[in-house]
Amino acid sequence: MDESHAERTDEELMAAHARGDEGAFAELFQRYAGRLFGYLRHMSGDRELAMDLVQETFLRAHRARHRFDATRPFRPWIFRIASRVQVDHARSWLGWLSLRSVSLFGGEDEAAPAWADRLAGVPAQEPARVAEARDLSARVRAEIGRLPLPYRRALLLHDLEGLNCREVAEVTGRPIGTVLSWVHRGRALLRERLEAAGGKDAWS
Amino acid sequence: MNGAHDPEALERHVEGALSGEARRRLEAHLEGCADCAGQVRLARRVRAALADGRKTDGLSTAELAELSRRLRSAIAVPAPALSAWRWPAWAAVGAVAALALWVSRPAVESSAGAGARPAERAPRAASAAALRRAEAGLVADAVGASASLFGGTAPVLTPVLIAHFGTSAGFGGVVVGGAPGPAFATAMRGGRRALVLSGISGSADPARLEIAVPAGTGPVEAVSVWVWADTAVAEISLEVADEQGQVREIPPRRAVAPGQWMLVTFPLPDDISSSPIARLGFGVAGPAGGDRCTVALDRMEVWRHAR
Repeated sequence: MDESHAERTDEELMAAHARGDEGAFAELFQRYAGRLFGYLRHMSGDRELAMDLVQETFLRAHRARHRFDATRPFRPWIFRIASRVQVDHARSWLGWLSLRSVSLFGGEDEAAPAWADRLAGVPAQEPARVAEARDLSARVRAEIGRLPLPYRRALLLHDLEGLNCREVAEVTGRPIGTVLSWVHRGRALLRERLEAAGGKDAWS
Repeated sequence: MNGAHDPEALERHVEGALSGEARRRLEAHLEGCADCAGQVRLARRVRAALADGRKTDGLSTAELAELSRRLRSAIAVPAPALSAWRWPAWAAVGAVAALALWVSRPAVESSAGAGARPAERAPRAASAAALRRAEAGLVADAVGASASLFGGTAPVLTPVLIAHFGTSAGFGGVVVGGAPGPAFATAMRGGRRALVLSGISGSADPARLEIAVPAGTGPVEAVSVWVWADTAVAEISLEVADEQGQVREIPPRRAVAPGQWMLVTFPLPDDISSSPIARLGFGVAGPAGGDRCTVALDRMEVWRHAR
């Protein structure tokens, strides 16, 4: 990979990849593998699975390289693919097995996520896990995993990955007003749960 | 924005994307609006917590290199292009093929809490397609891809053995190994009653849980188990023994985050899944060195092709 790749924009690199530029996709991988992993790990709750999903995201991006519109931003495009990959997996056999196991073991307690959230691949969610987390940051991250899916996705894309709300709207295919509402309500729910779990002093 | 509540402007301020007059107006608004100021503080705390997690939970250099290797293999970039990649260790693709499993119609199970009765069956078979991953772990796009990728009709999987370790003492398993030997008991962990193994040491001396598989179970395609651990370094592996006593070990997974129940699935490679199995064994290892850890197991499911 020569230096010229490092100086090019994401969109230029993706267009170059579609033209057969050998190092362009490697540079995009360098820029985005860690970020996609962070997003998908929070969404899936599993490191190993998140690595598989990152791989699948890049694979789909590669296959779709000739359909990429270089006049449009790359970042929402790749995160939209990642979101699609995660949802597809969550609807798979493995996601279904998680779903059924949660319902058998966890029961229908009040903390259980809604059906739609489970379908989207929330791992077994135990109230105790929040209490067991050692520090506030870890508790925040654990609680984000319990947020309803649209809030969680919007918060992760916006607050973890740094996409602005218009980009999140592009990824999710929803109006920006909806995204702003998700972000706002997600954070509010997060604070409410952290305070209820005893973190009020450190949080407020 | 004119000093009024403007959710998008607040977010842009949190992002650091506001400048000039827009920024000055917003800052003036924040001085007089406790609600908006509180939202900005909250947003910054959430962002700080997530950024903190990225430092501790991000991909390691080795994981990144492994991911790159797998991706390159999946893409099957023509040979000359490979030199463009940053990591020169272009190792041969691992021999272990994994399964990716899809289901289109979930089964409904009515007997929660049943022990590992021999060859316990779900009331209805799961209609599942088993897709081979391409050699380095390619995940196929959808059920419909199975025919085009591998030819033929997608096989149907059904659970043949379900073991609730935490609710039934008679699951047919026995814990062996690990000097001086881990303590094990059924107890609550993370809100769930499970088989709890405590005093687990490092991988040189793993604790082992063996389960006799009822005769006639036949070939097995995949084994899954729920795992809880009090440390992120705990690993779980699977051993499968066939009727001739040949033992194969499936590489360990480190899918257990501390204090969370995680589902770990071991798809079995071809050469194992084609022979009847007689015994399953889980190996559980903790940190290297003197530290000990606790690992809990629950609900093992063994899957095979429906007849």
